Amino acid sequence: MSAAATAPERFALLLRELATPDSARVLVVAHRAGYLRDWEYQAPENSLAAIRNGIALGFDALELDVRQTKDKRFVLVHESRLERVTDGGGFLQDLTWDELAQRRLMYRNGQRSEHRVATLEEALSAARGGALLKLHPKFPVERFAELREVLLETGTLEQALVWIDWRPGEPDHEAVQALFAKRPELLEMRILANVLDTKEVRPALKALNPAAVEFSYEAFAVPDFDAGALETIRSAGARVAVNCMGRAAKGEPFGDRAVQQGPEKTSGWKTLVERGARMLQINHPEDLRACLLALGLTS
Amino acid sequence: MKWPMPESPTQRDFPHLVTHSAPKDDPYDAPAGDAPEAAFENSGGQIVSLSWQNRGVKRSRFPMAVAPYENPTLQRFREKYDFLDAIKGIGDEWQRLLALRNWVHRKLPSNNSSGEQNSFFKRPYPDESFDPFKVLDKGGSGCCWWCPHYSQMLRAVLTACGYVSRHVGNISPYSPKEGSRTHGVTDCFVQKYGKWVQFDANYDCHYERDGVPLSPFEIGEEWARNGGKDVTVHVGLENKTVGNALTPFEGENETCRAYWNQHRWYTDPFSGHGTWFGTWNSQMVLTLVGKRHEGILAYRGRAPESEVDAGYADGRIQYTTRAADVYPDIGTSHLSLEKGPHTGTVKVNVGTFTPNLDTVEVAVDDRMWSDQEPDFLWYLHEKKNVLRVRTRDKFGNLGRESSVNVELRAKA
Repeated sequence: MSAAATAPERFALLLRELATPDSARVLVVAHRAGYLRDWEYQAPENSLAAIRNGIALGFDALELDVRQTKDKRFVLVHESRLERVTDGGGFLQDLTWDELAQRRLMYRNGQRSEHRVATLEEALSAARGGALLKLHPKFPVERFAELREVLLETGTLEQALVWIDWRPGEPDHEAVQALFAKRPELLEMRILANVLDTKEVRPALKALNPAAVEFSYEAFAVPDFDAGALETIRSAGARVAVNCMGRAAKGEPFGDRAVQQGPEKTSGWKTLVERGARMLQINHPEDLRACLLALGLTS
Repeated sequence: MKWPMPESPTQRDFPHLVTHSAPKDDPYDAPAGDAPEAAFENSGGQIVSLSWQNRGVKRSRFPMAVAPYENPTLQRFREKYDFLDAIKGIGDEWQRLLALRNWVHRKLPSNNSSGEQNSFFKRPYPDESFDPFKVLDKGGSGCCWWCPHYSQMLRAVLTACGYVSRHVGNISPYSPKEGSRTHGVTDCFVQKYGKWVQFDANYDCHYERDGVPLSPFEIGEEWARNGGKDVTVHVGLENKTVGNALTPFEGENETCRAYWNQHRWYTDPFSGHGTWFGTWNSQMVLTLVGKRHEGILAYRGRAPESEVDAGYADGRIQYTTRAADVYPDIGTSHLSLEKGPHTGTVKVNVGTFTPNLDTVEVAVDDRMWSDQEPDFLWYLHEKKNVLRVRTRDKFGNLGRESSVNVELRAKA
């Protein structure tokens, strides 16, 4: 696609890419909708401004953290406590939406912004037709039916990938299985299944029919990684994703710093792509996008 | 891309002509409380002992201006001058702060003999923004430097090293004969002591009581209590005690000057916003008022021209009785513990207000510190478990540590 693609053309391309897991294109997922340069863009993490900015910058997908307020409104907030992300303190779960709406989001430098927390509805409306979304639900799986309703109402069912923790032993693992067995219509949502390792690929594919299967950087970077599992994923019509927020080995830096290797800080990304990753969640989406453009792996 | 400038919120967001008091169920205050035993319900063992050192996070209701680490002007400042050399190899935060104060003191040699005629900026200061480059480049040129130059310069240097600080205008009580005396100083949040401390780069000194460095408000309290006789003055890199605050020391050590403390809150030395030399400006000023201020007006200036501080009337001086509005926690970590999802786990949530935050760091038992998300699971074992959390900013500065210790034994 030419650089002059219109926004609708670009969005249509992203949807096609999502349905073409063996394509060479690597999708860039901006962690928290892109946040490291929040002051420069005047767009705090998980804000409507960050969503609009991420679309304008050409990020393929925006990762959004979805939590619920005391009165059960879905809102975009990364963590449980509010000291870092808002101008007040305490737990999100202790505030009603009206109380939370009085708060202002903070920039990473510690300065208060004029932006308030976004509701999920607002965020989806802002992103509709602009970029893919990776929704990270941080609320009980029992509310997935309501999440689906919001996606339907905002016309974003097609572009949203709902992250599901598919790791045996985790509390959500059994709850998700039970819920999806009981409510098969939930599988109308596009699922991004986070697996612990390659052994969990087949069960996850069978249970969730995901649009993408995600490995942690830690799991993907092991020397004896079973590359055959990737073919299984692609054959099932799913894309191979890697969440670069992690550490490959004890003592390594956390976040995506471990992946930023080599003098140009790109060799780690290249290695992941060579191994078959086609969707990378990253803290530095601008840099990754520039790297992929140079390699001809995005447009 | 144009680097964004902070915009002062004073007039728009905050009502004036009121003294702000602490709200009920203060949502800006996250006290630590006791270590919750219920969080260990899924620990897999029985609690033998449980304790924590949890600082908590107290926020200000007033937004502050913070220089982003990435600000190109800040980075240029770091590269151009050699203050980083002054702290090279010094691991202790307190010693680093003293070294930076001493660096500013040396770079602006005071030449009072030349008098005001040779002053780089004449008094009263014109409406000229503070430019740390301009001042440092004129440092040894024989200019006559005044206390706000030292205060603002120390603030610029501390900011460039990631330390959160403010320019403070201290004002003594008013007397009809003498008016009020003023002095510009700097205060800075010091992790080692977990509090704000006043630094005076003009005289390369700070004040202590019983070995603990004092904030501007605390110095004022000491004066109100007994004239400051328990306050000691400490000078230079060696932290040398030169006597108590009653001992003459270059004429600027009187604790009475810290009676009123006007904190220049919304300034950023590298954005050109709100950083002016003197006290005649329009930026937000925060003053903590205590019992000593009840029924008393703040005057400024020398007799007979002393006048009631006009800033109160136009809203730029904000008064509050809530200490954390003026002296909030910076870089501290609030630990919250909840029952874990599986046997042998506890859910940990870390709250923090750390400007230019790089990451939360965690150390489990005797293992090394490593980066961590603010929400995580703590995996427990029998006997003694230790969890420590802190933050690291982009400058590499470490926040004050919070920790929890729990000893478990196998359930019978």
